[in-house]
Amino acid sequence: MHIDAKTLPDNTLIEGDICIIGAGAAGISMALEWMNKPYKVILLEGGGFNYEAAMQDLYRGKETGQRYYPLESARLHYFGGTTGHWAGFCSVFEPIDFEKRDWVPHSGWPIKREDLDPFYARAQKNLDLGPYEYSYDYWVKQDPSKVSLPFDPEALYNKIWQFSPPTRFGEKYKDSIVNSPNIYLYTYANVVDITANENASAIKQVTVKNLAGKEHTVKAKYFVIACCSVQNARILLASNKQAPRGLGNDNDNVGRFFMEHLEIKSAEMWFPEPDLLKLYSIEFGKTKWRAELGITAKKQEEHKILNGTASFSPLEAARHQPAFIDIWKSSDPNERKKAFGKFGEAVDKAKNKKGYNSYQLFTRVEQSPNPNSRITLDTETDALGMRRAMLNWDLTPLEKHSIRSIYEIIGQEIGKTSKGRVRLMEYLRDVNDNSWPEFTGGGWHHMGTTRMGDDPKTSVVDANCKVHGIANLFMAGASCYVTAAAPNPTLTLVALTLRLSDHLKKIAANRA
Amino acid sequence: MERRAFVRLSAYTALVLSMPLLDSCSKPEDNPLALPLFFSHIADVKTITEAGLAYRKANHGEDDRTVLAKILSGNETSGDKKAIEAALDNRVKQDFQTNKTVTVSGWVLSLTEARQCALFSILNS
Repeated sequence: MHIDAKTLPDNTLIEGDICIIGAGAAGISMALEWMNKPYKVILLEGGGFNYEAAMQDLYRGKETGQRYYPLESARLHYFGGTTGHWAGFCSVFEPIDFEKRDWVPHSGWPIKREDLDPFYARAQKNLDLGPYEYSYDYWVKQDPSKVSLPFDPEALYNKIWQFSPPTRFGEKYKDSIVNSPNIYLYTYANVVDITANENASAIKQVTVKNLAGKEHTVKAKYFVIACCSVQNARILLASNKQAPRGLGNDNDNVGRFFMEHLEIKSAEMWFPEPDLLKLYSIEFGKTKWRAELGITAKKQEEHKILNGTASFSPLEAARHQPAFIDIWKSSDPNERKKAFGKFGEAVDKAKNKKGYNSYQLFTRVEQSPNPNSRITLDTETDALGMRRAMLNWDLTPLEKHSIRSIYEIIGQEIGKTSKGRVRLMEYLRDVNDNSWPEFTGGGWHHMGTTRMGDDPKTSVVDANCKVHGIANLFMAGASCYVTAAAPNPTLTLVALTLRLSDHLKKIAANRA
Repeated sequence: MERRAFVRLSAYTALVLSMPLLDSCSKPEDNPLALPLFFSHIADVKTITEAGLAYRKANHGEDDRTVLAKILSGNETSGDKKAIEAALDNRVKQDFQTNKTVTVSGWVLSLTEARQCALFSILNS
């Protein structure tokens, strides 16, 4: 069922069993799980069904620290959320990503990879991916022409990515949600405040507003905030009537540990003979799977580095590709197409069916969890009167050390096989230089800000994504990540949401 | 690096290696001690020279033609160009296997081929 909150009488009271705040990959995945169940589910979406500049402006904010994209460009504020412009890259976190690593401060999840495996398998379907298989041995049997580079498996491995079409949740799941008898989707329902009981141990209701000037109240037994890492933190911090520092923020952890993937050109690989590197290539919209070069857990530990991967682009084409940080400035889908179009043009210019002698190596590496990399509230308010988000993106020397080491390892491994040689880019050559070049950027991946952990002093949610100390408030999405791993976050955040959904079902059933 | 320059150097390398080794070779390309064989199939003269200069800058004790030639010659005393070339090629591979690598001018090279680049840059100056 769909209700436009702009058309409701002002101060309408909306009631249900579960209130899901946000209708992106996480919120819709959760709602789908509750369809045709004996519960009334309220699904709140701030925007409508299409891109609107005025809605997008509600996501505008300020940035300090390391240069970053405009905040309103990175997330989409309408039904389907950021799946409206994602590229569909999917892979799984490795077991090491969940472990406490003594060389990565603040690492260590309270869950293990095996806890997520069954949910990864289910998430594959939501994202229209293939089988839950991420080993090169499996995939090469499907296409033996995708030959691996030679290397020592103790040092490197082929990290497999699968590609979603990409699934646009707004398009694919709109009818299912709208036609569901027990899912009540309210569009133009922006949560601006959460009201807790007197001692902030349980949530009573949320307040929603829209640009038509309407304000409504939503009451439910359980609340799930699924609005992306920036907005999840913003809503908790802004809800400070019963908890002066914000809900769930008694220990000043909400908003901290914001993480991105550093996505940055880093090196070149040169071969005496041209090679197509089919296994590592991608044709957008056609390729179903490919590999990037991953660094084994053993090598990560040996070199005390973060987890990251290297992808390949023909150097001739890559030289024409502007840095993401310079072109991903707009959330408008039409502007976005223009930015990506340049890469296609560059690839076309470099077309050579015999292969290439040189490739650019492009890094995707996790950001070290860092309390100073954080979301806070600005004094400026948006059109609904809610304080805007401020991002301080803060990197540490560990990221740079890791990127440098990754290419030294790859250089050594490729040298061992006499296949080619690797050349690090200028900014990585001085081991004492911790500065970042102008083209440094992220992958538009927002993670952290309501991190998971057993100890309320160092985390915001528990292993079941429940906010510490608040009985009926849960967080869904990548904001719960403790570390970012190398893969794009969507698959894992959907898996984590499905796990949360199962947990909530058990709680709801027990209560009934 | 220009692809054309790389092709030119590779062709020239092939020509030079088919000639007998002369101690008095005046061009670095003529001297197998100074020519990193695998790397020369990838890198042009300018690139090899830059790598060599970077190595010399970081290793002052080896910034000398005689010192480098002695280290690179090792136990190979036959003077046979092919034998020297084969011995150095083996050492390059062994370097990678034993993690004797250096990063010079951004290139991750074996210690031996970095020294060859260094000698190349001296002879090419």
